[in-house]
Amino acid sequence: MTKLGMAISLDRCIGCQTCANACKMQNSVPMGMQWNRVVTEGCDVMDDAHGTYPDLSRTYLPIACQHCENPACLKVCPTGATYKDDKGRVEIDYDNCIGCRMCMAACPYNARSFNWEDPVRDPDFKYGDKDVPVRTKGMVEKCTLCKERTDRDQEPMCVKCCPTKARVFGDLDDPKSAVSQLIREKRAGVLLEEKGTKPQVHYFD
Amino acid sequence: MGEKNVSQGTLSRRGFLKATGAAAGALGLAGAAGMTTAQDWLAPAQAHAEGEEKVAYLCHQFHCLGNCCLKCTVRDGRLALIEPNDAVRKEDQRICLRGINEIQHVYAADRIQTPLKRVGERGEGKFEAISWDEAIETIANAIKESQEKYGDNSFFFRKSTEASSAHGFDFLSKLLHAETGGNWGLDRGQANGWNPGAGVGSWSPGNNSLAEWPLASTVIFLGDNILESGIVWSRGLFDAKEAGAKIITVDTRFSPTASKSDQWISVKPGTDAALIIGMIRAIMDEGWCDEEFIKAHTGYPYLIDEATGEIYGEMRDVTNEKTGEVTQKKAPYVWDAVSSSARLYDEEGIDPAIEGSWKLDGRTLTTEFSVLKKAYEPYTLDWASQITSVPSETIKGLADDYANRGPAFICFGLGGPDKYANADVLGHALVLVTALTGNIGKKGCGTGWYGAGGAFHSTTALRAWELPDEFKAAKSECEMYNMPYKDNNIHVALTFGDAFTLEAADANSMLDWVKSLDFYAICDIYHSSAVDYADIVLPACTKFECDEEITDLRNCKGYLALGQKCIDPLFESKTDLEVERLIAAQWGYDQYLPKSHEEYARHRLSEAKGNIEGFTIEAFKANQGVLRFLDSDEPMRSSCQFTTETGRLEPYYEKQIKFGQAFPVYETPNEAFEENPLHEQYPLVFVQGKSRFRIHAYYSASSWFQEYFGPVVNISPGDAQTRGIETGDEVRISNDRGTFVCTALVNNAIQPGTLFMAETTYNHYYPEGFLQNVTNSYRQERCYEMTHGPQIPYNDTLVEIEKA
Repeated sequence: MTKLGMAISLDRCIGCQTCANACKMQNSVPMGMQWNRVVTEGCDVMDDAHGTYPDLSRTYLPIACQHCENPACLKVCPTGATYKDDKGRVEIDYDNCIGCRMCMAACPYNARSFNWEDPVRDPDFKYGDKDVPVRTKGMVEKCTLCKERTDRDQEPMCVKCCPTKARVFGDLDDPKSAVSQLIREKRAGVLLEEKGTKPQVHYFD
Repeated sequence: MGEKNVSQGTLSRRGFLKATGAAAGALGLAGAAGMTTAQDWLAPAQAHAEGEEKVAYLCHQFHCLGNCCLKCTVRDGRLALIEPNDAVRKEDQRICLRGINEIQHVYAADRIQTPLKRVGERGEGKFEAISWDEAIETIANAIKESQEKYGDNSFFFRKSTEASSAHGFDFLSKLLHAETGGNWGLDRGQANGWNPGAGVGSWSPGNNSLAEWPLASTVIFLGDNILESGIVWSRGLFDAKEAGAKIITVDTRFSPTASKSDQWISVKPGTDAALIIGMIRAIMDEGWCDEEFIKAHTGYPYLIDEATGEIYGEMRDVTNEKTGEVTQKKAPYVWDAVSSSARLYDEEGIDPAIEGSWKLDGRTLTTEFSVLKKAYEPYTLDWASQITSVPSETIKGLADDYANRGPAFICFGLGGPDKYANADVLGHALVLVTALTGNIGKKGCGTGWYGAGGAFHSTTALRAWELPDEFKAAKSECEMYNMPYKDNNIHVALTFGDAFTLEAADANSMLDWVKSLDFYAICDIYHSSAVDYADIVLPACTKFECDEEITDLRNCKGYLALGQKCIDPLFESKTDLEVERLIAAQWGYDQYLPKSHEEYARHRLSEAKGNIEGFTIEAFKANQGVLRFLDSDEPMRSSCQFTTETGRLEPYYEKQIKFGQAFPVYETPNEAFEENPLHEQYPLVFVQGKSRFRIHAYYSASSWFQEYFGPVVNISPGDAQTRGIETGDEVRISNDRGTFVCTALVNNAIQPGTLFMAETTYNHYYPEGFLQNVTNSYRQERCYEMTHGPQIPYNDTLVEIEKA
């Protein structure tokens, strides 16, 4: 089996937002929405820090769909629009999405966005990958692990564009893949492990 | 991995948007009536249409010095996808958010769409659309009238990189004998102090190659926030870190670079020179000097005549190998320990003493090293600690790492400490500390600016476009940043890009002066801060647009790249080459300019030899627009061949005896220091720096970036609390020079007593004024005698902040 996933170095993540913008471009993500965002962990202000000056620390944390092995979103989807595909990705069949947003309530990572209105794209045309389907009002959307690219054996756009090479993509079922080796060697962890969602996105220091 | 603090709150999108939404400014359109937005102007979106695709290649910004080679997918004539060009080696493929967001930014609502004529008062921003013919004629007539009345140099012309598809060509200043505004006043503060001791220009990038960072054991970033200013070069820091180097960052702020370093040293603003002087003192006291290096490669053993302070030497005729010109240079004496006598420094077989004082022919001769030791007696570690607020032990530890945990780099940037009136003292002190430890001229070390990417080979084999001999720019009589303060003959100005608010401080003085001109025209891509002050506005196109298939031929870090057109010029915009041609034509001078980018590129390649031999337009086309320099496999390294008078590092500046700066003597900043009486009224130092969302003001118009970022000032929690300021509040920042209003962010990373704001954003995104209204335009007098002249001390600024 194939189980696509990712490992992200939190040491190498500089909070530059390149991945977030690369994702927005590739997937024609509309205004006011981000499939992939980089937060300054535990802070409301970007580039803020924990502690009292000058005893400070800061972690940048990139967050998108964790493509969980045990996805909370999938279990609550009443129509089966959310599904786990044969490559281990969590995907949405937009034609079957009824916009009930149960998945959004269930996802502990807040990885999903909803088109409350007709999406506004700026510039006002479908930029990005020509194969990415366009979402409309009433649909939920999120990171697809760049389904269109990874189906063509290309790495996701966030991985390709990361200026510090903080992201490593590959098959978690292949113990020899770079991503599997990294996860083992670095003892990488996952976000909100206690939720039992078994994310396929791993993080290491 | 330890437990991550990922509370639901952290992951809440609402919280995320709330924090960033506060930063977004109001969107404003160019003031002309009846103007369309980019959205309206473009054909209706056809989201599902199966578009026709083509791919074009070009090199992105030289302005951030990323020089990223890009692959652009164009669908139905629109920019749809931007990725790294995969024709360059894997390790050279790079891009950052700034390249990616061009997808939106090229089409931003703030584009100047047609030529405009002012109809309101200057500064009011009221315009009406006019034709290109009328605009060009009006500009030419204003220049002609002024030059007839007041002379050629009454016309000021400057082309800044922000509004140019190329880098470097400027024909009009020569064709029209214009005043060009002399020294630039930016980014050369430390260089001013470094140059006399190590050679002009040796601070970059020959002495600091990014590719060599992993060979270092210690890398010190001195006020250099490379992780934001040079995002695509960040890999160099991590490669060095993974190779075992200790990364130390000195900054007033807990910058992104500081947070990724092994050690962050918090320093008071504008006191970096005192920190380096403290290091020098510690290295001398502890005997951490590299004596062999000092004897072979530095002026520390040169003898100084105590009575005059001058170097004791013999004048020699020196013939310039290239020009044959003969000049006189002083050859210093040293004290030879073998023969116990004064001998010329370059005699063979001598062993120069580093320390000591001798009587000779009625003179007392002392080595530079001994003179320094005495001069620096007051500069104890405790003194340095008091000035900088860095603990003595930390300064000593920094000196220890630099001297004994080598090879070591000191990387300075072009901002931070460079933007204070004492930056030359810092640059000079860096010569001293480098010369003491020998951290230069060998693998894995160096001092200076990493040159954005470090030492890449370049080429000198590109043929220049020659103009007939009579066409030369006027000899500059006044620096542009000095024009409001110094008598000058300027009556008419034309700038490509916003020179007046990006390359000068104290905007109220500068813009008052601009308003006093007979005529001002600007050619720009976006509605930048200076646009509202212009009589005529011309729309320039971006680097992605061109009226022919080929655009600019450019050196990009180990490669030469020939840009290809992605899309047609938007709206009524034109390339800067075409605009120069149109203006030149008003004098009949367009015959001297290249007729096209292609003709220009072919001309530049017509004598391609050396490391670009065989590079032709056709070869570029066949290789996705990029060709790697033939010598790029040979790394460039810093060397011990210094282009100083004696070919060595020379710590003692005889020419600065009159300023009391023969050795660097610590001096407070001009304004930003606590003992300044002004500090009572304006107690906060206003520090500017780079943001990942800008190259200077560029990208102000990006709606993608506006979702995260706008005119925001960061304030420490203590300073905010005292003034009742909370995140998201509108705040007013003021001093005697002016005032502006923006949004406050309360941020733990900010040093109490300072404010931090990213470099300017176009003025119409602020509720009132903009940040250049408060910045310091002081000109450091002694710098007129230095390579780059006085530098604008943007950060040497005191302000007060209050809720608006």
